[in-house]
Amino acid sequence: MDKPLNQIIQNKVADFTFVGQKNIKVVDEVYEEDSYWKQLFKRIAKNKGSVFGFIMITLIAFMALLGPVISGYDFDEQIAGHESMAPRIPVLENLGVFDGSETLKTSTGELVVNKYETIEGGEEVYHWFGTDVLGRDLFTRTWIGTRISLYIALVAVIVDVFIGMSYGMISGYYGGKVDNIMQRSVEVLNGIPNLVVVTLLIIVLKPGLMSITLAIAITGWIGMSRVSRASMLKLKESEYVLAARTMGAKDISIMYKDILPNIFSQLLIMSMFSIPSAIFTEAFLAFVGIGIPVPMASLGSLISENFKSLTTHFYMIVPPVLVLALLMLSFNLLADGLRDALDPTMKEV
Amino acid sequence: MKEKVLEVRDLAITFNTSAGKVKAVRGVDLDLYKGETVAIVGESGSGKSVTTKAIMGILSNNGTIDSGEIHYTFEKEGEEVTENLLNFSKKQMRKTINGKHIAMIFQDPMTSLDPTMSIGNQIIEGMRTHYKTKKKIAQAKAIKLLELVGITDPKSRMKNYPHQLSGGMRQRIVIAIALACDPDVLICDEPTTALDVTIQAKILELIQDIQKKIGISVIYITHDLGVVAKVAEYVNVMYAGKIVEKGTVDDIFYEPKHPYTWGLLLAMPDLETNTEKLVSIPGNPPNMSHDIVGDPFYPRNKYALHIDKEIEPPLIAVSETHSAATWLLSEHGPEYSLPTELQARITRMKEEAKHYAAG
Amino acid sequence: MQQANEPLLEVKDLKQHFKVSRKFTVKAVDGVSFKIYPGETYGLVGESGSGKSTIGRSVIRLHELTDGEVLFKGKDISKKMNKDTERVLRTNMQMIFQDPMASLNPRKNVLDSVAQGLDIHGLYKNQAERNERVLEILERVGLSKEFAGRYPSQFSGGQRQRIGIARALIMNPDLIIADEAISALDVSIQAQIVNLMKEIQEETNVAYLFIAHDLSMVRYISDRIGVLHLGHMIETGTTEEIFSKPLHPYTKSLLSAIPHPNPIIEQKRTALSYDYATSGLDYSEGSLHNVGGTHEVLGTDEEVNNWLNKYSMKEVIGVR
Repeated sequence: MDKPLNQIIQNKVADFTFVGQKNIKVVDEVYEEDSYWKQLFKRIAKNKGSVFGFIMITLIAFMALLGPVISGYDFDEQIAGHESMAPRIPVLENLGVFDGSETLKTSTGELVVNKYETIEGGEEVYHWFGTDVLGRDLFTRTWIGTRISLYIALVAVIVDVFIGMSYGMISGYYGGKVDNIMQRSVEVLNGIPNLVVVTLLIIVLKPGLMSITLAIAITGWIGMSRVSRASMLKLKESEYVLAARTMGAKDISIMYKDILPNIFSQLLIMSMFSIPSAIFTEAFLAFVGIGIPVPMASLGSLISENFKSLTTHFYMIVPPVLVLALLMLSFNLLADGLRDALDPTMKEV
Repeated sequence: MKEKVLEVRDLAITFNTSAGKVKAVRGVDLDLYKGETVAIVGESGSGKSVTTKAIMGILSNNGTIDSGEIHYTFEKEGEEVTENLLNFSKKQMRKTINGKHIAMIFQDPMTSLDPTMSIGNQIIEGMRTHYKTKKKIAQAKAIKLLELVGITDPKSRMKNYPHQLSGGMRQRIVIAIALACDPDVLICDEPTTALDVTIQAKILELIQDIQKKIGISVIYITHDLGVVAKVAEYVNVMYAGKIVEKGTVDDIFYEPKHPYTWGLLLAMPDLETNTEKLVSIPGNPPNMSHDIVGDPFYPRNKYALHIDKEIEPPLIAVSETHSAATWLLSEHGPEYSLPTELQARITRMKEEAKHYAAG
Repeated sequence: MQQANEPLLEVKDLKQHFKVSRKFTVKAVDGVSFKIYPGETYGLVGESGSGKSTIGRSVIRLHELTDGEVLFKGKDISKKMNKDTERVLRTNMQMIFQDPMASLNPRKNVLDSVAQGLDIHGLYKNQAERNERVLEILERVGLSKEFAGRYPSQFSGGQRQRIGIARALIMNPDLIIADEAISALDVSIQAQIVNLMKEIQEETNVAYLFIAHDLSMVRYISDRIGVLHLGHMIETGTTEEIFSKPLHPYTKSLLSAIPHPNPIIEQKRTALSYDYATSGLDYSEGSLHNVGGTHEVLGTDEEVNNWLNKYSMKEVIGVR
């Protein structure tokens, strides 16, 4: 024993007596831990990409709600005389950009034109994203379009989660013949190209908000069911599931009360990845002409309409394209971050 | 005079986890001599596995070495050198030490073997990496190793895959792989826990045989005192990141001095005792993310002293080989006697030992 | 530990065959019979592949039975059960599992996990009663009431196993099947759990089917023991009978494999080895012979006589 310790205990000689078992702690300590959600949050916050994605999504959603309100125009308001006007933004115009002028290429050379100067009362008119060929304010239309796109995507994915999750869980839980039949049917369904299914559906049901949402939902649930079935197969032999069975719990109760909370994270990740896919499918449908009917706008229909002016007034197509790209990128980044935080084994999905 | 092969001094390791900083090892001294078998005994959370992982340089990324030195004596380019392993980078450890000089085998033979590689390839992998041995020579050596670990018909086994073998055979293969590069030290982390009882003894006897033949030094990590009784020469009992008693195997089994060691010995049901109740240690191992004041065994110690609450006891020597970290041994300590059941058991064991030696 | 005349559980010639492929069927359990009386502990011992876990799970009807009969409290639970029989089974027979990490639902707090049985069968009038009973049981198994709101990841292995015991105990069962319930725990915690189980048995007269591979613990807790190997019950009897006069070579090798906590002896002796393939025995040919009291051994007449005549304890233990 070293000297300093020796000296300390010289003073405490009286303490070398038995405590008499009063020290025995039968009641144990519990290991402190942050709650499940807090831990999750911390892990996601570490991933810069997902933080960026989350912020972007919030911003875009915010603008989708607020944008059409603050612009001062209606989305389907065709203002005569305001056709094909370049973007003009109040403060920035003083810096030389977005001042309402555009450079047109004519057969004789380049020509700088500013329609705001030619129309009546043009000084007071502002179109932050410009206008399209029918004189509708693009700012308003872009954000209305975002609203519709987001709505379709979210509804489609939610329906997918419910159908796919239940289908996969039932198929995985019962196994054997039930599983066989269910999976073979799904494979047949999956064999039909998505686009064909969607196109046929829309032709039958006539294009409209509901029919498009339905069409996207019908083709998207299969991926969800696969994830749900795989998780179910993994978990159904767990001892806590066996414990529930030994206590006589009904199958449905086991599926939804015991197993579902444990596969919830997988489903969340999968749905986060499905959203950009749904948005894109809708955009694609609009682009090929079977999307949202006029005068409603979605990001895809906006791109489709303004595509025609790509070479003449290219500014028209930029806002919807940017928003679409940012939206898809942000959801992918957020989903990536969620997946890394929740379940590193899902990297192949 | 035996040469010292491995010397660990004052090792302290902390892990950064989501529950806070966990001081897994709080000051460990360990010695290993050539050809010796040392056992590190402890339960979950004692820090025994972490200590050996630090020796091998395979601590997980969130672990940091707070202090300490690990001096390893080995032959480098024909010369005998002693170096501090903690100064080696991970790459250096892989190139010079791991497999070549210090090898490790783990608990579960099912997950220790690569399911997609044949047995033969797994054994020669190390040789080819470290020594660039030619394939034919390596294969011949692999067959010899399989014979050494008691595998029948080694030539055809070379082409087998792990899933075609039983648990006991797999563990033998794991040992063969560990020995492939002629290491000086073998660390076995609970090598028999996942095996059937009838196989356990066989594997331990196998390692003992190999030790006699090749002269390697072995460190066993285990929570099973039966394993310790069978194979160890020197024993370190760990609790809450520190060694609480160390001594020869006879010291620990016939003259245990620390109340935790008493508890461990009593928790093994004896075929002789007809008691109605097993004497058990109350409570649970401590939460290592909290700072420890005083003796960490205090809340479970029926023999606790008031001073245990304030000051952690240092290792107090009982003999040249034997020391224990308990204030009961200090000169100021009170009169005490071992628990009656343990006393009875030790007396009986000494009697049996005499009879066995005689007849 | 009373011995009533009516057995609580009766297993008759249980067979469990699992079809692995068209040609190959694994005969996990091949004709096992035993009885458990109220309030006693029956130890079922065997190594991996012996079929002991399969028997436990078959008795509690986690599997369909290939063949054989299981009677619980006089009712046949081996075939399709009507609602009443099912209820009797599910409320009076409970199970404790091996892996404390996996036996609790990670997303359920302790209160909900322990009360699961009560919830399923609606055994309480209101929430207050339910919670009260859970807290009572938690205290009984040595856990603080404060633990009720926590999640499994915050507990150690031993604590989780206590929660598993609480979950089984709250149903007031007549029979608890402990499927390797202590194998995954630290040695000092094993002793705690075994003591707890014994106390509970004294208080409630519950019977245990204690499935294990560690003979030394089994000896401590069991009244009667059955030794399993490759799906057959090769020896059975009271703990005393089995440990004082093991006859079957497999039983002898199991006993021999138990380590002595005596280094001087342990280092010098070698355990008996036994290999079915080279032993010359065929389990399917043997039948159970009574060799005294309730002690029974599986073998042909010739083999059993052989073992009785050549019996030597020294061979088993290696000393004494």
